[in-house]
Parts: sequence; structure tokens; C-alpha cells
Amino acid sequence: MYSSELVKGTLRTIVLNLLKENGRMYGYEITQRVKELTDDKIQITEGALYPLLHALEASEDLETEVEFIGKRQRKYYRLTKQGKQTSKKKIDELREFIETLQILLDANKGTSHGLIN
Amino acid sequence: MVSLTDEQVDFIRKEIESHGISLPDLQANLIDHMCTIIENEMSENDDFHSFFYSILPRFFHDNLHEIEMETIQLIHQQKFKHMKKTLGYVLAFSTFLLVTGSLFKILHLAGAAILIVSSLPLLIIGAVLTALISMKYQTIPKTQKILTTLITLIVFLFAFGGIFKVQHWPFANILMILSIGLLCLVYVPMYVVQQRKTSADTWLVGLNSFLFLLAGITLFLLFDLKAPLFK
Repeated sequence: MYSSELVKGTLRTIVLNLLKENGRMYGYEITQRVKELTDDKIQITEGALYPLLHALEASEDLETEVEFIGKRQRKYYRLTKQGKQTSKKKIDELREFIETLQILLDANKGTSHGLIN
Repeated sequence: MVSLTDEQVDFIRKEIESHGISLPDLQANLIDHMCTIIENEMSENDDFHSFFYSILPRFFHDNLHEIEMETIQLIHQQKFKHMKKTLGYVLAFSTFLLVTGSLFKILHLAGAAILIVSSLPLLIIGAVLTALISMKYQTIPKTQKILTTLITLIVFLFAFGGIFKVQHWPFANILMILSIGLLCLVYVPMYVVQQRKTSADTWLVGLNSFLFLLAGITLFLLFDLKAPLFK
């Protein structure tokens, strides 16, 4: 499992991308889907997920639908029009970041080869 | 998969409330999340209460209330960003009015006074609101809060002094001199002391302090010191 520090910076993008792919989801479903897709390597904690979902709702990137299951409410989250744009921007930014990181890691590899040779 | 009774859902609701979760939306989310975990992970033979208390620590490091604190902080950050942007427009517009009014004044064109007078209240409101929301929504040290309050007061006094001066109302001089005095004799020394502790860029701190003092001294020299202070 990856450290929470690594996951923290990408959590927003992970959630936005999941909602982009799956339409509407609720909190527990998001945590389970991430675990399933990453073979338990990334685990989103509830303590990090809900503040983020509420903040994304406040910034109007997400909208909610409430369904009642007996006495309890289930809030489904989906992307708004603005949220779709934010999601695209965040995903592009993360992809670019990964590519840049890759260059950086490969460059270090090249340097160390140079030193050994 | 077990199915929870209404009493069990109520028990979870009360536990969540007693752990300091008061936001209704967050409460609803946590109740549903805990219920779903129990329904999916608890076996028929498990005791509901023991199982509930065993899954509770998954939700926090120290206590459950930290989720609510984190939620409020993130929502405040969003609000702060929006408000700061709006106030930025207000301040830019009032600065534009002030600069245009000053140009009109220099060129002796009509409408200079109304432009200057209308820009200053906007500038004051913009500065005061920016300071207030910064202090409310940003986690900033106490000394920084004092400095922000002080500079807001200085802007407030100076702007009002300006309005009084243009309108030829009494107390204009004392308001402006008081604001300049506060800037040069109180704000700048406090700013230097505070920034030297927190900022690594001493060159920038020095430059800022010099510019503040220069502005203050220049404005002070523009005053006719022979004129009565309370006029």
C-alpha cells in the first residue's frame, strides 16, 4: 500500500476521474472501487474522502442526489458541467506531472550509469 | 449480508453526534458509510456493538471530530478563494477610479472630486473586508493578524482623511497625519521585527520597509505643517 502522503496530492484527481468514468457514486462505493482497481495498493481513507467531497460540492464541481435506504440517506455524487472541465484539467495536469517525474527519474538513472561507467 | 434495523441506524447516528459531528450532510454520509461497512463486512454471528466500535477507528487518527474540522477548513478555503477574487475586482476598480480621479484633478477636468470620493469608500470596504476574511479563513499567526489589523486601520484612516480633505471637512489633517504616523512609527518597526523572524528574504523585507517609510515620509512632507491640525 502506498503512503498516504503520496495519495494525498492526487486524491482530488482520483475522485474526479472516477466520477467521470462512473457517472454517479457514493462515498463507500468510491473507496471500494479505488481498492479494487489498484489491488489494495491505494486505499482512500474516509477521513480524507468526505472533506474532499464536501469541498468539491461547495465549489460546485459536484452535485448530489439523495436516496433513502430505510431511515438513512445515501448521497450520490456526480460531476457538474464545471466539474467535468475541472476533472479534465486535473487529469491532464497529473499526466504531465507523471511524465515529468518519469523524465526526472530516467535522467537520474542516466547520470548514475554515467558515473558507474 | 446483514441488514441493519432502524434502532441500529439510530444508535450509529447518536454515536456520530456524540463524537462531535454536527454538519447534517456529513452526518448523513458517515451514517450511510458505517452502515454499508457493517452490512458488507459483519457476519451473522458478530455482535453489532462490538463490530461498530471495531470499525470506528478507521475514520480518524485521534477523534471523529477531525473529519468535520477538515471539512469546514476545506469549504472555508473554497469560500476564501471566491471572496478574495471578488474583492480583488473591487480593489482594482476602486484603484482605477482613484487614479483616473487624480489625473482629472491634475488636468483640472470636471468630475475629479466625484471620482476620488467614490473610489475611497470602495477602497476602504475592499481593504477592510479583505483583511477580515483573511483573518477568518486563513490560518495565520497572531502577530500577522495584528499587522493585518493595523494596516487596515491605517488604510481606513488615510482614506477617510482623503475624503474629508477633498470635501474640505474638519479633522482631515489629523486623520491623515495619524495614519502616516502609525505607518512609519508603529507598522514599519513591527513589520521588520515580525518578518525578520519568519521571512528568509531579508533583502525583500528591507526593500518593503524602505518603500513604506519613503511613502510615509513623502506624504508627510506634502502636508502644510503650519495649517491647523484639526481643520
